[in-house]
Formats: sequence, C-alpha cells, structure tokens
Amino acid sequence: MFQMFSPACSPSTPIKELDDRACRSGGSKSRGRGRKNNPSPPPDSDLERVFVWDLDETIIVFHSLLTGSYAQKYGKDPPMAVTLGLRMEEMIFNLADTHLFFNDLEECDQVHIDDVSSDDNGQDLSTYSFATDGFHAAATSANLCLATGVRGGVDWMRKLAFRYRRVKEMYSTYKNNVGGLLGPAKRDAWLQLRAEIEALTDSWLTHALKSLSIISSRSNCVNVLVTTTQLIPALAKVLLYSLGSVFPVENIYSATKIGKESCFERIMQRFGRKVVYVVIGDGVEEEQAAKKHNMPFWRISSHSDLLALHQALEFEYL
Amino acid sequence: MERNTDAVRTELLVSAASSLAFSPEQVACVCEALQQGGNVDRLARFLWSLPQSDLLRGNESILKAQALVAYHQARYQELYSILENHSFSPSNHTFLQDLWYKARYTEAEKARGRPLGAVDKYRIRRKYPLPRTIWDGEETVYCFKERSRNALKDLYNHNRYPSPAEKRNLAKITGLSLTQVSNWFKNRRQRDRNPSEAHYYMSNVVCVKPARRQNQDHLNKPPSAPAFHFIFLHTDRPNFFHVSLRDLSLYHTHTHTHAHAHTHTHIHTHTIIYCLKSLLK
Repeated sequence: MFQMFSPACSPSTPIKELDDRACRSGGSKSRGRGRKNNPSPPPDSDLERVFVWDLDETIIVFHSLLTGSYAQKYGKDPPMAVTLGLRMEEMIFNLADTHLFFNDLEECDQVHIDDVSSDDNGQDLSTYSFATDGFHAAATSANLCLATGVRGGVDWMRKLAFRYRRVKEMYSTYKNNVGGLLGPAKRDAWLQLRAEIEALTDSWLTHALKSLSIISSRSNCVNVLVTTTQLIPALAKVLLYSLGSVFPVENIYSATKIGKESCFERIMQRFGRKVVYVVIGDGVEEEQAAKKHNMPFWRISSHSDLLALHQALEFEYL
Repeated sequence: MERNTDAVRTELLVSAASSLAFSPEQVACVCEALQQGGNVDRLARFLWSLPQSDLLRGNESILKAQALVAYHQARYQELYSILENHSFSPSNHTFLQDLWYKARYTEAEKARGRPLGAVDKYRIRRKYPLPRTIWDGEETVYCFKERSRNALKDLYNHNRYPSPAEKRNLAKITGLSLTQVSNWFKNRRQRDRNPSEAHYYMSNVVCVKPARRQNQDHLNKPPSAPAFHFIFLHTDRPNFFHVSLRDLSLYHTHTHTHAHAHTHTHIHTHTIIYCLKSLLK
C-alpha cells in the first residue's frame, strides 16, 4: 500500500516547498504565535535580559578552521587548522546522523525544536522503533501529487514529530554528558579533538563560555542561540562543544530558512517587550537585525572582544 | 603579521590594563542596554568608570546615558548643557525632549513646593522651548506637522473627494497612514458642512466668566440681564469684551468657513449661546 504525499516530499525538492506543503500541513506555524511550542515566561517573571548569540565564529571556531581564514588571521598552521576542522565536521555529522535522525530530517528542517509538536500525539516512545516505522521510505517515495491533509500526510507528520521529540529528549539527557552519548571510543577522540582546537584557537571557546556561564547563572538573564546552521547539526555542534548546559534546547533557533531577522521577531514575541535584548555576533546579518529592532549589539571579531564582554558581565555593566 | 599564542596573551593583558577597557562601540552597547532596562544606577556606575578618552567624546549613546543619569541625579544644569551643546539624531529626539521637559517640570515643582497643573506645565514649556539640538522645530500644537497639513489642505482645495490612489500618494509624501489621510478628509468635509457644531470655532473662545460689576448696585439689577466677559483668544491679541446678553441677540449671525487662522474679531453667536447655555445650567 502506498502512501500518497505531495510532490514536495521527495528529497530532490527544495526544502522551502517541502515545508510549505507537507511539513506545514498540520498548520503548525500558520496558526500563529504564542502557542505551546513557543513558551513565554509568566508575566511576573523577573527576566530582564535576553542575550541573543550567534554560534559560528562567535562562540565556536569551526567554519573558519575549514576555510583557513582563522589560521591566516592568527598566524596558525593552515593545514593543521583545516584538519582539525574536518575532524570536527565529521564528528558533528556523525552525531547528527546516528543519534539525531539527521538523515530523516535533513529535508524537513525546522526553525525550532517544538515547531512540529502540534502533530505529536504524545504516545510513549520508549519501545518505538524509529528504524522501521516507514518514515524514511515514505519520505523518499517518488509518489506524487496530493493535497495536504491526506491521511498519509498526517501519519507522516506524526512520525516527524516523534523524531523531534526524541531529539529533544536526547539533547536534554546528554547535554552535560556528551561522552555518554558518544560511547567510550568516540569520547576519547572527542576530548582529544576539543583540546587540540582549544590550543589552536587560544582558548576561544573557553573565553566565550565564561560569559555564557555568568548569564546562565543569573536568574534574570537567558542565553538564546540563533544560527544559520540547520537545526539538527546546530544541536550536534552545541553538544559537541559542551554548550548544552548554557543553552536549553528550546532556546535554540535555526535561521537557515527564515533568516535571522525573523528569528529575532519570534524571540521578541516569546519574551515580550519588557526585557532588554543584547545581540552578540560577528556578522552583518545579526548586526542589521539588531539595529532594525533597536537592540544593542556587541561585536565579536577577536579574543579581546570576548574578554571585554566577560568583563562587562563580571562588573554587572551588562 | 603573525599573532602567535604569546602575542594574543599580551594583547589581552594590554587591553585589560589599558585606559580604555572597552571600545567606543562596546561602551555604546552597554549604555543602550542599561538605558533600555532603566538601570540608572548601574549606568551611572559604568559612566563613572570610563576614562576621559577622545574616542568617547561626542558619542551619542554615551551622551544620552549621561543626560539620563544627570536627570536622575537632579543635576539639571548639567542635563541642559548636554542637551544644548550636542546635536542629536532624530531617532533620539523624543527621548531627550522628554528629559528636558521632565527636568524643567521637576525644578519648577520644587521651587513652587506643590505639584504642577496642566496650565503651569504649559507655561513652563512656553518659557523653556526645546533647543534645536533635540528638536526639528516643528510646532506640535497640531497632531500633524505643518508640511503635512499644508499638503492635505492643498489637495483638499483642489478636490474634496480624492481617489484612493490620490490618498495613498498623499499618505506616502506626508508619512501618514492611509487611514489618517482618509480620516482627515472625512473630518474636514464634515466640519466644513456643519460650522454650528462649533467644534472648529470653539478654539476662538477660551474662557467665559461672569463679569464683576464696578459699582455695587448689581444686587439691585434685574437678574434678566447678566453680563459676561468674553475673552477671545486670537493669534496675537486677546480681546476683552463686556457685553450683556441682550446685546448679544442684536448681533447679526453669519457663518463662513475658516480655512486658516487669522486675526479678527468675529463674534460667533452660536458659539456664545452654546457656552452661555452650559454656564447657566
């Protein structure tokens, strides 16, 4: 028996169409904001500051290792930098594929982990077999052309929601224990790789983590992540760079499809107008989005910027 | 230029020890964040910690922050000095105008020893007009700027019922919304149609109060001839008229449309009757 899907479900179709049709047939986003998948803090919460971070080249050094630009700027050995970048890249996608269903979800990327939760029926997943539930086969089926809302479509949406729910669980369980998720062999390789990257980048991540930790420890501040990486690989990066403890999974947004400005708007809708938003990043996109919404912007272009940020937080200026 | 680990470390130490720990951009970021959060004490502490650096002089975010702190710490002369001696970009005007007036009001209240009423505040605003550094000079007695009003009036004189496209175009050039333009035309047509509604002309009558008799025999006067002072506020000269009610009925009524304010002493009988009626209730 074959399940009928709209043409957008075949992997060769661009992601946008996929989302506009199949992935949104449940109407998860189109029903508007302020729903359970975007939790708002209670009105009397004492939240005062929301720090909106960029990921790459702000908190972590990854992409610039691969391109060699980091090595060039800071006088490091280029082939060494590229090698480290490649090893990290492999770990990221390995983790994403093995534990976070990236193979299944790559064409169905979401902005936020809860975006398809409305299609979930809440059933117990402890004995559920993701490998054999037919999701992957259905997604790659070349069958065409039906309107959204068809029985097959709803069934597939639910399986999608199960996956995102499982990803959310995995993240929350292993965010402080990535080694446990990787297993002993990979864990050692991972620790080694992390140490080498820290050495090459003069402890870039360590510096960033100082600021992130201060914010995380304050009850009136939160860290939010907005990255141009797709959501699943972004979660893998966050886990592998040990940032899971400072970013709750609900505070991670992927701007791949909608852009940073739209993500900022979602974040503002979620946390409200009474809080102060501070944007921290290295790129033009976040700077312009910040300017548009009148949010103070802290540029990160070198170690000293991270250090200055830490100092501003330590002295409670920010 | 190679930047190895030692060089980076040195750079970090130097920047920490240097007189300017934060770049001007970072200082501005902190100022904005603290201002938006209303954290005036932290802002004051931060500003106090900053070195006297040429890089920071004239930075608008910092000046705004200094103005805000000066206001909260009641250093009003310093506040006025900051506002008057630097030109600010239009996006900050509203915030700074607010500070200017709030400071003026507070000073006056302290001098007076009692809270200010609306008229007191009006007089203060007249006495201390906004400096052009924080104001573009547009009168805001009206809701729309003069240029916008003139544009609206010009089109109105040409055609009282503009098409949607014309309205949209007008909205674009005035910076108003289509709804605002439409409402302006609707109201203008209505007010032209019904001058006896007196809404438009009420602006010509400020206050009507019973006159005080010069002599004492008002007690013997028949009550049927009360007299009133009328104060007509025209653009330049307030006029006082002492007329009796009976005299009023002799005034010839006329209606005409005022397209713009001008100085003259029409007495609008309908208006006056309206006023008197409510007073005599």
